[in-house]
Amino acid sequence: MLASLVLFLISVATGIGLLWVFRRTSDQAAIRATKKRLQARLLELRLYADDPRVVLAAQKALLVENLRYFALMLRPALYATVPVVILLIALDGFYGRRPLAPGETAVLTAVLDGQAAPDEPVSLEAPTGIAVETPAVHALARREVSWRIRAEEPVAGQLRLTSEGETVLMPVVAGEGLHCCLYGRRVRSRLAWLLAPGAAPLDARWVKEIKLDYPAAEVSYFGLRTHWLVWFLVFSMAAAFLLKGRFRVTV
Amino acid sequence: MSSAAGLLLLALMSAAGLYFDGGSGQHLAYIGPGAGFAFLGSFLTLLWAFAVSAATMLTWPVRMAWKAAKRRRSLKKARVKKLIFVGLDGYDPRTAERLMAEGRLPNLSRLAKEGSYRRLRTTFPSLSPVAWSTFATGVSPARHNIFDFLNRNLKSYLPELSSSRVNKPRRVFKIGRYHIPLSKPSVDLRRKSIPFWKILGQHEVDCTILRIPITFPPEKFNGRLLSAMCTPDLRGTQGSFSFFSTRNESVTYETGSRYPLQRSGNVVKGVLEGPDHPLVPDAGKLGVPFTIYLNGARNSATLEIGGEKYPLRVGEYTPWVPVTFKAGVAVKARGICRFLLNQTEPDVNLYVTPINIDPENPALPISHPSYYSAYLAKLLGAFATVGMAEDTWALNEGAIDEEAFLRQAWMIHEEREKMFFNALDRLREGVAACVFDASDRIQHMFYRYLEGRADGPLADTIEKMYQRMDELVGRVFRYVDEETVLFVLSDHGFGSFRRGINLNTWLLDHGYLALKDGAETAGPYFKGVDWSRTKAYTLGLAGLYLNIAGREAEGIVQPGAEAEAVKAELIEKLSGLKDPATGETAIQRVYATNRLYRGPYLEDAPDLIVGYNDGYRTSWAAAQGIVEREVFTDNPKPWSGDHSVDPVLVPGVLFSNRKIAAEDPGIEDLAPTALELFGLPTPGHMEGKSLFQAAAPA
Amino acid sequence: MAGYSSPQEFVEHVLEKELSKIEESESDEEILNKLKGLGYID
Repeated sequence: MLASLVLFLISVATGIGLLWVFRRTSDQAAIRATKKRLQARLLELRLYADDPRVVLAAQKALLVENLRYFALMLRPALYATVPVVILLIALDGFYGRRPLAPGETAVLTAVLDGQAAPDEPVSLEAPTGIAVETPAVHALARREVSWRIRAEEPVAGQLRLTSEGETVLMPVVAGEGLHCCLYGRRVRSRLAWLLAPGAAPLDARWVKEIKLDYPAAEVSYFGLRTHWLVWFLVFSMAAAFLLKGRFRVTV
Repeated sequence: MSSAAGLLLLALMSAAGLYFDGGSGQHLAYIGPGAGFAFLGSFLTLLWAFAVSAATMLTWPVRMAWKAAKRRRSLKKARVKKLIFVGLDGYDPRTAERLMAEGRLPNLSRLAKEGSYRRLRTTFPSLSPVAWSTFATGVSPARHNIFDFLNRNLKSYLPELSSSRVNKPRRVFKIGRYHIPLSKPSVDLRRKSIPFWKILGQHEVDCTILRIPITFPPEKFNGRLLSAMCTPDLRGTQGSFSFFSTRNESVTYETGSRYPLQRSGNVVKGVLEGPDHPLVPDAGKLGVPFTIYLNGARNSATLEIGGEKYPLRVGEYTPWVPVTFKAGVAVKARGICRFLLNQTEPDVNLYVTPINIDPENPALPISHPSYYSAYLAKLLGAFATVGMAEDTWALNEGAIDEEAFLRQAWMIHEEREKMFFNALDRLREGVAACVFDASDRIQHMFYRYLEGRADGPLADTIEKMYQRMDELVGRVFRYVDEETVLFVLSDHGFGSFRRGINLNTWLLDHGYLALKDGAETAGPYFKGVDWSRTKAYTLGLAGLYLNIAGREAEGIVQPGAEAEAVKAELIEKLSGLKDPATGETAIQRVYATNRLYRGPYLEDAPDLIVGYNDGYRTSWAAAQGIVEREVFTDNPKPWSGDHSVDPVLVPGVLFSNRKIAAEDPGIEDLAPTALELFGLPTPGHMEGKSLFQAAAPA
Repeated sequence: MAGYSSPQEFVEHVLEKELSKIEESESDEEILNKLKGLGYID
């Protein structure tokens, strides 16, 4: 309940924040003028419905105005992207996945470095409350090693993966409800980390990436359960739509 | 989820500003509502446009077949594809002929040479609402019911606007001090008969009618129309300006209003007054506060109103500024106005144009279809909508100077040009007509220069205006081909207005009008007139009315023989009336309207129309029903030209690219001509006849 | 019917004349306000 409320408030705040960004970074006069011309061309389709020549010309103008509209949106959208992406990643860490429920299983996968031998033994140690159900399964072609683990009781600990004398840790959480910073992925490449940051980058030589496929979470409002991003989209857009007049923003 | 549903979701999410990231595919990144709206809005716009276009294209053959069938019945004799009317209000033949002779109007000269030029008989009286109504309907005033700008109310003797009437909502729900209307205010058009464009529309001839006077409220017809003269401003007046000043001065304006500005350092505050509160009758007027931030000695400032900022420079108009008057949560009246900073030191003076009805969100209907004005405003920019948009009274009363008036008039003219060329660009078959008013307003305000009564840098303003209108005609030539007929016409000409005549005073002096309690003068709208002893009175610009028993509430002149006798007396005494101060003939002739025209609305007409001589007009006071001490007074106002004179003196002009047969064309002939060009017969009620038909032998 | 553009106009005119007999007049102030700004009239 509290998590849902917080997501709602963050969504609304994001909508307002983005209105502010739009107001500061977009050419509002040009957007207004372009929107008016778009509306005019739509009205023209009705006013001159009997004249195909005018209708075609209006359609052409509509396309041109649409392109202009997109171009005008580009700048504020670019400004908005960086903070919003960071926010979304943070939110996804909380709302995107949920911890393993006791009795639930998940697959842990380590993607090996290209220099390492594909069948190099990798050992896995799980904290108390997490059982390793299978031995390591090597997918040689993909250079991956996988285990199935099962949660036995609520726990927040570290899975320890060791190979070539180096040990890396992968956080694991089991329990009910949502959990903060539930990252199901660690990577070594800084570029990959930038594209999908989660827990701290890996620093071992033998492994490129570790993945733990937590179950996807859903958030419920009004009795409807769906992915949190859908709610975020709905609430932020609704807030922006309702408040754009107050903020004197045209989008 | 099926692949089809997945694709749909993907499309919708993409449209809403979502995209998949380039990494693991786990994250969805969302740009935000702005981009979301952009994509969704554009997506829906294009979808709608595509749907409308597809529907248009798919149904086009059927509609065209239907239209062709309708047209074939009536338009097989059509002689043209396009008919274009360029109306130049008040374009005077004497000035035009002189300038043509001097080679200064090449385009009109070309029309006269290759086509036709005639002086165009105007209506009795020679007033724009009367003449343009005759242009539209092809009938005399007795058949279209417009005789002047004003009518008199037969019960109260008070004036009323002749062309339209805005009625309050019929049903109102009262809760405490709130009066909540349960219906919209209705607007009645008082012009009767039927305009030619309505008849053409019935026969599927496409018409775009722009700013032809007396088209408010807009009538429904098969075409597009933008209203003009007599469209009110947002305050419900015919256009009242606002003048703001930090100077504490008790100046009152006849038409505009003066308001205080509060100055504190470089910050100046005021409130723009709007319409009456629509829900609380005694709450006064709605207002929008504004602030001016002065920028030191640079003659510039910043205006903040409605949360938006606009740069101000002394002597320069702002663009149209939208203003919203709020009377509650959802009750708003939207208008547009321009601001003109007159000076910043020692006092701040600010002129604001009348608050025009916003064409994008009109508070009253100003176009047909209702969204046509919004279309024009969104595509071409906001434009003046009030009937007489050029603020002659602001110049008359010194709120703006001549240069500011001229700039305003030409800005409005440019708006009209844009609309007209928008219509011409889209005209393939049918009619496009537009009336340009700058020619009338500029002559009203600068005529004293033309006749040499004033001199200065603006002395050639009227001549320049004639040339500019000629250039406009030149640009219209691009749209004229062998299957097009072009008419350039004016509704009347122009003359000088040096002296005013107060016929109410003359009637008092000659025993036709009486005042109560032995008073020597009477206030506006006949305050103090003793109707029980009054036989005749004047109101408005052109007419004299008899106080007829059974017609006027307190009439004493018996209809029939007595009325005819009184009329005969007045005609005899007033015709040839001399101005004792100058010795000039002030009134050429007085006309009995029942001899001028016949029709069902004759009983509403003035009984007599006064044919003033050039240089004379009804005085400002007489037009308002005032009785002064003097019959003749000087006209000191910048409004120095007029056409409310003997119509014989002020014919209009008529140019055409085709040879016309009529030797003495009248403005009533244009409507039958328009019908005839599209193969339609002249309806029996019309009094004009086609210009291309030779006159019947006498 | 002479001079009317249609029978409908004739009927409307007859009705308007009858209605005008019972129509209430506007107040002086309202009337004068509506005429404000008409260039030709002071």
